[in-house]
Amino acid sequence: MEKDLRLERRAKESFVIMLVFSLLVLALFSFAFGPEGGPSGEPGAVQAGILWVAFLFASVVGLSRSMGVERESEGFTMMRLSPAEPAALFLGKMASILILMAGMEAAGFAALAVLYRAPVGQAALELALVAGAATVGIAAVGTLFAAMSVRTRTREVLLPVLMFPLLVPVLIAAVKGTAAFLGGRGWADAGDWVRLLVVYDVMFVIASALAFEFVIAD
Amino acid sequence: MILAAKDEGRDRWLGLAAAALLVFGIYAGLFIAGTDRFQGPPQRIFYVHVPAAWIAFFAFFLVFIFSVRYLAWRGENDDIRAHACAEVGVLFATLVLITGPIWARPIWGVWWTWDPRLTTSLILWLIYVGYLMLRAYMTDPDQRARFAAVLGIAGFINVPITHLSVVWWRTLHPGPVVLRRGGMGELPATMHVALWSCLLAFTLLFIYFVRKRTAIERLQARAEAAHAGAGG
Repeated sequence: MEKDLRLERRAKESFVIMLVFSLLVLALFSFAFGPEGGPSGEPGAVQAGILWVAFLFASVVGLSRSMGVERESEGFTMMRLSPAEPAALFLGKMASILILMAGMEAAGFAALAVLYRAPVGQAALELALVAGAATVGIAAVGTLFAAMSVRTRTREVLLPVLMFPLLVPVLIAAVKGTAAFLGGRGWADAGDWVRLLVVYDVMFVIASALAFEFVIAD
Repeated sequence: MILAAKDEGRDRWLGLAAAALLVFGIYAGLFIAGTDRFQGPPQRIFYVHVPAAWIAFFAFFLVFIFSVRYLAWRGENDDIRAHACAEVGVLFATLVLITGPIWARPIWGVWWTWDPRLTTSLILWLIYVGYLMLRAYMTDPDQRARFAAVLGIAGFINVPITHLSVVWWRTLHPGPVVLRRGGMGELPATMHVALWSCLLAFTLLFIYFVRKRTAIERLQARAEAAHAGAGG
């Protein structure tokens, strides 16, 4: 134990990252459950918050697994040597993560309906649309940062620290949109949030696709 | 001689000027500016808080500019400057996040509230702390510079979206207390003196820190290169 603490005192790596991570989680919960930090009274708000915090954390696991494979099997070297455009490589990688997350989210919504008795069925299509728009954003930002963080010393730990702050708009909009449909308030409440998600998606898919070249280069 | 003597001399004057202005700014904030009728003495923390916030935001904007320049031309200097600006920016942003609650406690009655401006500042701080961590955990200088530049750009283009989302998030469900800050336009002249002298002092201090940090970084890069050269 003494050795561990002494090592830590020299490097301070784990401590700093733990500290920032916990601050980040505190902030994320506020975004998921409303500015007052507690249930904001509207139906569906708590369920939506729980759901999206769970999805966000699950995405970190999926992303680091997916990029870990590239790291172990020289995938980045292959990507560099491949004649395909870096943007196309990015979109391919992003699409695979998107599909992975879509499966996880479908199961997540089903679990929410069963475990939390959420009225998922009454607006399934709309919920799928909100989830899809949010997931494109998570996948875009996540793919870019997973490709970066997997090549640092701290790997997986750094990924949430880099990507969560950038995903705050997505988290807020996804929670609000999901809550609106779960609470039966529909498009009147969710419309602006879906539009915000679409704007975010367009900006970050383009920006990440363009930036991917700089990330896989050696 | 490693550092140009002229540069060092200029830096010294810059540092002295910043220190002198800072002393004057604090004096002005405490003694020249009148006590705010509604907020009382705690209002004086604004002469530190507001300029620090402006400088921090400006620093992050510079990180964005230098990051774009780096990816376009791959100049080592742009990477070093981006790093220096991010570090000093985080320093000022931390000052903002510390002085804010000290002021908020007596005035609003709470240390923290999820007001749009506060929330956006916190996210901004987290993004650039992440930026510094990314840099700290990478060893290959070229790769580090590229990754940092990508984050420096992505982080900054995210700011308007974050701000918009946080404003909606807050205003769609107003809290029990409506918190409003007074407008800037009606400040008495003495308060202007304090505010602007502090802003000028912080600006000089910012330039001084960034220049010093850049010089240190250059030395470090040179030492690393020399070490690599000697080692193999």
